[in-house]
Amino acid sequence: MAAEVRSEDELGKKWDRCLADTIVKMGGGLAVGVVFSVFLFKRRPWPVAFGTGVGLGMGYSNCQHDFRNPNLLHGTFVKKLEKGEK
Amino acid sequence: MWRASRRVPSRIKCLSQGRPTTGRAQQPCRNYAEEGADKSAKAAQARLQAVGSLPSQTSGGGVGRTVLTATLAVGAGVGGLTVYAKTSPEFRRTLEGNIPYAREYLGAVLDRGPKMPDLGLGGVVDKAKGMVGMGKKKEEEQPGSFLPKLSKSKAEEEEKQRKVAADTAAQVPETAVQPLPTEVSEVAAPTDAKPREILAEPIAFGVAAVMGRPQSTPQKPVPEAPPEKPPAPEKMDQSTAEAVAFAVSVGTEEPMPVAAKEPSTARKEPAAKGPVKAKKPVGVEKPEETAAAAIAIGMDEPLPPESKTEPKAKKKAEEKPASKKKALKEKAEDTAAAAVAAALDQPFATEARETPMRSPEEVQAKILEKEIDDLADRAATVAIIHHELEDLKRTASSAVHAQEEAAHATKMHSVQIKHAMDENTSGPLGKEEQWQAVTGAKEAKVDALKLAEASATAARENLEKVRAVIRESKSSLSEPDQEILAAEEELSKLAYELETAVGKVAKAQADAQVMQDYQALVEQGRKQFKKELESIMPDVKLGGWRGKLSEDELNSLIAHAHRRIEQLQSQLAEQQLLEKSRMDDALGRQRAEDEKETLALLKRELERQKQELALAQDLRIAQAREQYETEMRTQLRRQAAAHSEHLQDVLRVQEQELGSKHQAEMHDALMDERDRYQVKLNEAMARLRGVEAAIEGRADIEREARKSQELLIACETLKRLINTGNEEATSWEERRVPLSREVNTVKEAAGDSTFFQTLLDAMPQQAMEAGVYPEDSLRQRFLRVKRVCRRVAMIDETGGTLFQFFVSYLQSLLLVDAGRRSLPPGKEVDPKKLDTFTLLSYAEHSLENGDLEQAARFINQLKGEPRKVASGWLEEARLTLEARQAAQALAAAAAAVGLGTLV
Repeated sequence: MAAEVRSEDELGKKWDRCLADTIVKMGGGLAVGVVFSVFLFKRRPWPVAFGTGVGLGMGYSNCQHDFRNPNLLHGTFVKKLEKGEK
Repeated sequence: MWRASRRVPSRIKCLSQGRPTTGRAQQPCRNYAEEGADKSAKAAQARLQAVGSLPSQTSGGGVGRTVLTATLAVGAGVGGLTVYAKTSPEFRRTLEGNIPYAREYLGAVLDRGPKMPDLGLGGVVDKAKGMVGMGKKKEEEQPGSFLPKLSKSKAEEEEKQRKVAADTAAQVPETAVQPLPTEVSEVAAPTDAKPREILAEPIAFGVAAVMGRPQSTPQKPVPEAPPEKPPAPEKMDQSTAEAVAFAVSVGTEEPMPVAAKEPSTARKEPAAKGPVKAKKPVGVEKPEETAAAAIAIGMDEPLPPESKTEPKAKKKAEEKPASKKKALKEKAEDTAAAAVAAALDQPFATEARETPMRSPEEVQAKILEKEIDDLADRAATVAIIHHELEDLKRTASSAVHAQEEAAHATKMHSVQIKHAMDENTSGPLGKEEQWQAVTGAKEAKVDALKLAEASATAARENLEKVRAVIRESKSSLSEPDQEILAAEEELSKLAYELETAVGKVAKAQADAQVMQDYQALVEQGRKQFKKELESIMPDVKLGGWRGKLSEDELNSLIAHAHRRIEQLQSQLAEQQLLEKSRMDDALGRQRAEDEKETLALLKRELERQKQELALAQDLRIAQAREQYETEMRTQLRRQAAAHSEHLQDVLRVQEQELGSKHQAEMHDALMDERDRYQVKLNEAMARLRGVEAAIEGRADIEREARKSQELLIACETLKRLINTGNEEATSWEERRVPLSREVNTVKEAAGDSTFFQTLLDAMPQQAMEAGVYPEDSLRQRFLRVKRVCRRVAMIDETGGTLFQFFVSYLQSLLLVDAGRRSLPPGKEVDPKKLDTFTLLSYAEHSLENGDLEQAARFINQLKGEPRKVASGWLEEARLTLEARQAAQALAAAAAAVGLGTLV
């Protein structure tokens, strides 16, 4: 949290995070679906859709969880800096 | 890829192949070739192209499809990555590190944010300026510069004054010590060269003269010398010798040799006449004239004409040189000097006249000169004397010779007489011839005597002249020369010779006289006899014996003869007696004469001895004199040196004295000047001090005033800064400036005042560190805040589901923003009735009116999520308000203190 986040931007940031997360999850789901589709289900389209949907759902769920409990903090791993390293 | 529906591919295939599709699934693509209508196919193709099918005919639709897919995929990928990078900074960092230009892209997309219209005035202009390159200079006032400037000027003034003082001190007039007169050196130079010159010129002249060339020197014109050349080389020699002597004399300013030369000239000519017979007196006078004229011309003196016409008289000639000498001596000093001065350059002559101050070198030179003069004189006189002596010798010898001849002639004559009178000796000549010889001898004797006499007189004259010359030279010269003495000796010797010769002649003459008497007597006797004979025998003539005589005549003759014989015998006896007495007398006389002669001889001898003694004495005197002279010279030289040294010392002492006096005077003058200057300086200093005091007093007041002004200015600056923020900022976000510097300035300006300290403490810390946003920034920010707040108006603190968020958003969309609502005046507001929208609109309105405080109050009433959203803004607004309040208080206080001093 180096840069200060303005209070009015907080929600926006939250939304961004949410969206990004959703997209990532969707992508992930898509990918899994494609893999499944290709390798397991004879190139049928339904695993892809399924995976995407799963991703979307996950993302939505995360978003909702985040918005519902706004006072929960999101932690990040901070790499331990060596001496002199920025 | 997985297989998509067939329809699409086939259609695409058809399209890519350039054939229209049929609606059928079995045979989707129309086959023009089958239909076999080329024209229609072409038209169809043209139509297709016109429709704007996919890019290339040849390539077909496949490439387009892939391109489209690729673009979409890329876009999607990039978009997804961007979105994810927005949420996760770590991911963003990895992206930036690995992908080139990711940083810029991400920065551009994520960081900048939506651009707000910049309400600040200076921002755009400054940005433009910055882009162009003209930097904005922020000049900061140095409140402390007033007094330092003053002090600097004061320092400068002092410096200037000091300089002026130094200049005036240096301008005290310095009287230079006058250098002592340096005529000495100037005069010394020519005199050093002079003696040589003086000698050189006459020598040159003399040499030239001797060489026989007609010399026309610029200084000594001798125009008559050349015309006289023809007469005789002898004369020329003489005249040249004269010229030489003359030149030397003139050169050495010696009048005497000239005067001496004159008599020599006067006398030489007659002496010269001796050996040369039949000389015209005119010829004699001419060369003398020459010399005299030369002298006259050289000496600028009109010679008295008598001197030319009377060269012979010994006395007069003697007188003449004496008088001439005197006259010459009187005038010679001036004329010689004048001549020399005219000839050569004058300082020499003037130097001879007056001797103001001589250096030892000068004295030496003078002595040297004198010595040279002396030498020259001596040389001249010696030369003259030599010359004279030569002449004298010649004349004397000639005279002696003449005398001897005369004596010889006289003797011969007497011998002849004797011979003739002696009747026994008949000789071969016979009586008559003998008597003729006698007369001849007599004539010769007479001539010889005359000549001898003449030569004797001439020689005597010459002798006298030379004697006079020698006497004069002895008297005039400082010491008699050896030569002169030798000359004297010579002279005396010659005189003696002459006298002896003359004596010889006299003696011979006396003898001749005796012989003549004897002859006369004999003659007389004979005559008597003849007479008697004639008386007795008148007709008998002696010597005329013719025939025989008668007896009477014979007897008478014999008687007469006897008588005569008797007579004669008695006469003879008488004569014998008389003879005896006469002999005695004669003897006596002769003795007397001998005595006289011996006396004369003795006298001469004595004279000679005396002369010799005198000569010896003179010689000794001369030697002694020489010695004394040299000694005196040295002593004089020493004295001169001592004198010059003494003079030098005296001069030095005088110089010192004068120098010290001058120093004292100068010192006094300097002291006076310095005192005067000091007084002036003191005045100025006093004035200056007064001014300083006044300034100090004023300075205190002004310092206070300045301080308060500073404070005022600082407070105003602070207030302004709070109000305007960073003017260089490009957006409202960067408009805040840390206030710490200004606050510190105010603190410094406030000094020890506790009142101001308290006020300063009221300034929030965050404002000092981070800074505050100016109202404009807040206003701008508020727009966004408001929008967001409106969107989340329905959400409360506990959060909300996505659906709630969505609904809230929808509500915000649907609720029309009617604009800024103003608070109804004077009406009380029920806090419960206020909802987000109203509050926001109220706040906006108040912001628009510039009332930040009211807006903050309204925003403070927000609840739930909107409050959270607006909390940041509210915080900033509060800070700003606090800072502003503090600044205003400070400004007011500073104004209260400082405004009075601005007047």
